[in-house]
Amino acid sequence: MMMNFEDIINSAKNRERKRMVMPCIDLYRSSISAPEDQGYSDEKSILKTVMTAAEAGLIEPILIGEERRIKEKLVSLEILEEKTEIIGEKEEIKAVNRAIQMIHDGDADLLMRGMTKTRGFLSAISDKDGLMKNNFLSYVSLFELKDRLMLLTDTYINDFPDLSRKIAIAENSIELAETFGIKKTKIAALSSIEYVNPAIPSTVDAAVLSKMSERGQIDAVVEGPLDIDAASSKIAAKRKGIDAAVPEEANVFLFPDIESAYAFYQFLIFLFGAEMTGTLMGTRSPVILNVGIGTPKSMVLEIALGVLRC
Amino acid sequence: MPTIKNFDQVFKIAEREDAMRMTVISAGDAEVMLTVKEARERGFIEPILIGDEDKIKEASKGADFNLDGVKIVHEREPQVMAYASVEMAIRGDAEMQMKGRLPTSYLYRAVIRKRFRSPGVKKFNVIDFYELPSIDHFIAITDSGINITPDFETKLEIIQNTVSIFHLLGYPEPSVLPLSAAREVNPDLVSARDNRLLRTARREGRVDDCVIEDAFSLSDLFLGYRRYFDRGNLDLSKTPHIFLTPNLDAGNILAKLYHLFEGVRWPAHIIGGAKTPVLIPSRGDDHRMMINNIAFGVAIAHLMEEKR
Repeated sequence: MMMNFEDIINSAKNRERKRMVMPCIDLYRSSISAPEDQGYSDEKSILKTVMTAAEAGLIEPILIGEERRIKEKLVSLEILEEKTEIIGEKEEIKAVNRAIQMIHDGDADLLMRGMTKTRGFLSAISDKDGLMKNNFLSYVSLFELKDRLMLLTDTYINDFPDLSRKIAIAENSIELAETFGIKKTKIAALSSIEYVNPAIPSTVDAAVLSKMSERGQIDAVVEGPLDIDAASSKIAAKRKGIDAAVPEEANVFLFPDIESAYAFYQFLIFLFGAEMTGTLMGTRSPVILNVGIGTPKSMVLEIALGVLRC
Repeated sequence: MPTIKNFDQVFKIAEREDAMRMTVISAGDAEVMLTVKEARERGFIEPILIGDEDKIKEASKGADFNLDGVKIVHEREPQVMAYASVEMAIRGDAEMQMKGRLPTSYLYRAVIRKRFRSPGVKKFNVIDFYELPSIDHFIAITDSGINITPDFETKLEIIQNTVSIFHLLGYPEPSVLPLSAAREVNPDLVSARDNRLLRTARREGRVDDCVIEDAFSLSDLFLGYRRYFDRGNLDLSKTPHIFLTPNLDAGNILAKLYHLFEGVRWPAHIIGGAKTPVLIPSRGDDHRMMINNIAFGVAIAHLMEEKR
C-alpha cells in the first residue's frame, strides 16, 4: 500500500514509461511576459517540470504547438529537444483537440493541460468527443498526514454537489484510493456538526451516504456527518459519543461544498505548510490538470499519479 | 495599550488581573471540571457551576477538584441552565460564561436576547482565535457556529462583531479576507459577489475601521508567493486577521482543522456581539485546549471592563 508521496513516485517509476501529450501554445505572446509571480503556471516552469518527469523515467513527452518556437524554448531552457516529439499546431483549441484525438487513437496514454485555459480545456474534455468516462468529473487533492495519504474531495470541479453528485464524488475517490492499494476506503463525510440537522443540508447528505455504505450501496466505509475534530481524532470522537472506524483513520475527507474544500486546501498549503498534489477523476485516460497553485514537485506528483492510473 | 498578539500575552493578563466570575453551563463533565479546576487554581476565574448537582459532584471527584467555597446552581433542564447563566451575566453576577456539556443550540437561544447584545448588534457569530507559528498576530475564523448561510447583511454584522474584538485586543485596523472559492472554472459564486459588496460597504463606512482585502483566497493574497516557496519559507506576515467564511460548514471545518496537527496553540472559541464573553469550546476539545479558551475569555472580559 502506498503511504506517502515517495511511494507514489517510486511505484510510477516501476511502471513502463507512458506517452504524455501536452498542448504547448504560448498564450502570452501578445503580452509583455508570462505572469511568473502567479505561481508555476508559466510555460517555463511547466516545461521544466515535464522534462523532470521525463528524466525520472515516468513519461515520454509529446508537445503540440509551433515547432520552431518550442525548439527554441527548449534550447533556451537547456533542455535536450531531440528526445521530445513535437507536433505542429498554432491554435489553442486545435492543439487541445489534437491531443484528445491522439489519446483516442492510442498514440498517447495521458494528457496534460499545460498552460491552456482551464475552462476551455475542461469543456473540450467534457465534450461528447472528449475523454469522459461516466459524464462526471471531480477533483481529488492529496497530502501526507502522519503515516498515510489523505484524500480531499471535491476541491476544484463541483461547486455545490447534490446527493447524487456526492455519491459520484465518493466513488471517484474510492477508485483513486484503490490505486494506492487501499482495500476498504474509509470516508469521513464532513459537516459542521456530527448530528443530523435538517437546517444544515450537508448533515443530511452525509447521513444518507453513511447509510448507503452500511447497506453496501457504496463500496467503502462512509461515516457521517462528522465534524472535523471527530474525523481527525478518536479521542475527540469518543467525547462526542461516536464510536466508529473512521475517526483518525479516514482515507478521504468528503467536503460539503467547494467553499469549505477550496479554503481548506489553501489553508493547508499556506498556513500549515503542507505539500499538496491532486488529480482529476472521471476521464477515460488520465488527465493532468496542473491547477492553480501547484509547485514543480506537486506537478511531478500529479504526472506520477497519471502514470499509475494508466 | 500594546497589541495582544499571542496566548503568552493572554495568559499574562489572565494571571495579572483579578479572577473573573465565570458560569459553567452544564458543568457535570470530567474534562470540563479539570479545566475549571486549573483555571481557578491559577487565579483566572471564580467558577459558578450550573447543572445537575450530583453529576457536578461526581465529575469533580474524577478531576480531584475540591468544591468547597464553589457556588453551585442546581438545575437539570438544559434550556433553563442556559437561561440562568445569561440572567446572571445580565445582572452582573458573572463577568463571563462558558459552555460545558451542553448542546450549543440551548446556549444560543438564551444568549440571543436583546438585553445581552452589545449596542447596535442584531446578530451573533462564533469566532475562533488562532495563534500560528510564524504569524505575529492573532488570526480569527468566523462564523463557525451560528449562521448557516449568512446573507450579505449578516456577513456585515459578523465582520463588525469580529472587528470590535480585534479593536479591543489593540489592532486599530484589522484586515478581513471574505473567503470565496471563485476560481478560473467558476468565478460567479455568491461569495465572490458578497466579497466585492463588502469592500464597497467598508468604503461607505458601514463597518468600523478595518481593511477588506482585495482578494478571494489565500492564493490571491499571496500573489507572488512563488518567490517565497523558492526561498523555502513563505512570508506569512500578510496573513489577514479575520477570515470570513461563506457558510457555516466552511467556518466550522476551517476553525477546527487544528485537530489534524500537533503543535498548534489551541484556539479560543468565543461568541461575537455579546455584552460579555461567552466561551464555547468544542465538545471535542480537551482541557489543554479549554484552558487557553478560558484565559482568552478572561483577557477579553478585562479589556471590555477597561473600555467601559
